[in-house]
Amino acid sequence: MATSKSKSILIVDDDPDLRVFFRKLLENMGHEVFEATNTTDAANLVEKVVPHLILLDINLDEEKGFVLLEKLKQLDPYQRIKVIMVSASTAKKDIANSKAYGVHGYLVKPVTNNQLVTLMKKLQAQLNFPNYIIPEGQENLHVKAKCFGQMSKVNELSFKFVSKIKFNLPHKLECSSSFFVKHNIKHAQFTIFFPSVSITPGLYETRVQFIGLSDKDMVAIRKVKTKKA
Amino acid sequence: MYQKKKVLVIDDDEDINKYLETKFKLNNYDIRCTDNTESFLKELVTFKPNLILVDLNLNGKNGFGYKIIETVRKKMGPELIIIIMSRRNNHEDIIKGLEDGANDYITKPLDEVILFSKIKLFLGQEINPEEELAFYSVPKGDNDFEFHVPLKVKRISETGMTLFSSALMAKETLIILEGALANIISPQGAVKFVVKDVTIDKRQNGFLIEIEFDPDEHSAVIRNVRKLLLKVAPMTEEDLHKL
Amino acid sequence: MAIKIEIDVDLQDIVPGFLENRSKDLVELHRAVDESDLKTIEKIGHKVAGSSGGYGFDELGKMAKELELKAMDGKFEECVELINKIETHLKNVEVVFVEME
Repeated sequence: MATSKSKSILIVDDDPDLRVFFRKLLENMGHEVFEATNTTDAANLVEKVVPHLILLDINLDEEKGFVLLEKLKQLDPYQRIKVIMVSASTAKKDIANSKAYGVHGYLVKPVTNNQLVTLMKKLQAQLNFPNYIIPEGQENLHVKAKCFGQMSKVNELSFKFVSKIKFNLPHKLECSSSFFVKHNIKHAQFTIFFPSVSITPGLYETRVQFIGLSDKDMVAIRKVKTKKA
Repeated sequence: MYQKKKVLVIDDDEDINKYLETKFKLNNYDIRCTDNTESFLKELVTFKPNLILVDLNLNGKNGFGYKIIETVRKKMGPELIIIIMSRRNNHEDIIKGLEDGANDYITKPLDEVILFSKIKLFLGQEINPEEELAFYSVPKGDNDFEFHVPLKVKRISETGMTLFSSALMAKETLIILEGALANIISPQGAVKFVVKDVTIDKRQNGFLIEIEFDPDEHSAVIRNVRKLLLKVAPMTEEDLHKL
Repeated sequence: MAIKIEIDVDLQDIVPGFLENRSKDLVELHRAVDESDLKTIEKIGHKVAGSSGGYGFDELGKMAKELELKAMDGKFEECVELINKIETHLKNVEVVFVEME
């Protein structure tokens, strides 16, 4: 069962034993693990799953791990994904190169259980991507909430419905009901003129005016004379 | 001093005009009726009505009323109330009228109760509850109701979102998010949520609705949110100050 | 003459796979010896040096590291010796899984 602490981790290493080892330990910690043996597959996975963290071996079979870091410049321009270099090498050149790319750490093989656990503990807090806060006036990501309620009363000019939503401002309402379909009034526009009224805390009755009904439509509604509300 | 609401009518039927003049005067409105476009347009400017009643089929010319609606709406802006009158009943006519700028539509022969209910509603006048049309119960089998509330996205993170709504959504309300953002973060283009928390946003005259992602139920959504967040530039000093 | 090695019980599931891969490595190492292929010996030595420690096979890791270095230096005879040592080690190793902090 995933929790909000579960992170997505990509292991890039050509040694199957190391991939198995990392996968075992990381999955034990509750994380989601992906594997690649080369930078092309790794780059594809980055695009597909957007991991929080990449454990990147420097000496891959046909290429250096740094090739992926080059690709990440395009894929992850703001360096949201953390990268830890993994290598048997303590060569100054490799360490310097890693620093230059701005990776977040360096593990020297053989990596032990403890080292990995310590590293993950240290990184845990930093792995989540930063909040995206949309500045006022720039809210251009459109979204609407489909909500549910029950129609309670109707007359030829309006109807009332009950829901957990309290409307305060007049506005045109996008809505549907079997009632409209049955009485062939789907074409009507529905407008809220008055603020909703509280029935009990958390439950509100909202009045909606029918706009654009013909008298034929009204006759159909009048036929709904089951009982006076 | 109490100001009478002003109503202007254009209808080529003399009987209708006489009827309306009588009824409106009785109900304490300042009413003028015209039967041709020239005098109508003149009165529009000099009389300055709050509401106009437009016959759709002036001079027997089908749909001539539409032109008037369009012209008037453009000229007078959104404040003037325009109600169409017509003997015709079909839905296309009604929809076209509303699209051209009318606020509502009423069929002839005119029903006095319905006419004045609508007039009072649009002019923001108080309606006497005794004068209201009786309400009927909606039968249990047909009373299902779905509606959409438009929202503005204020914050997105891997753990959830903050949305601005002018309507209040009580805590624990079940909602299904749809629209452009939902299409981005969900393969189905719809995501089910339960409102986690609601706070008042006095400044923007509405409410901030908090929803949380469930790591199991929304695992694909969380991944798609990361895809989105990957390409969002970090906030500048300026942005941070604005918050 | 068993060599007892204590390994973290968390790794229980993956140790058999690791040892199997080492058997495969030995087959390759023998072939490399027959073909005087120092490059392959170096490569395998490097690889095994990098993973053994993590699984808990420290001794094996040390031997593999030495193998890598000897192969790099072109010391063929010493490589053959080391490969035999590694083979014996793996034949005699006995894994005991324990709870580790």
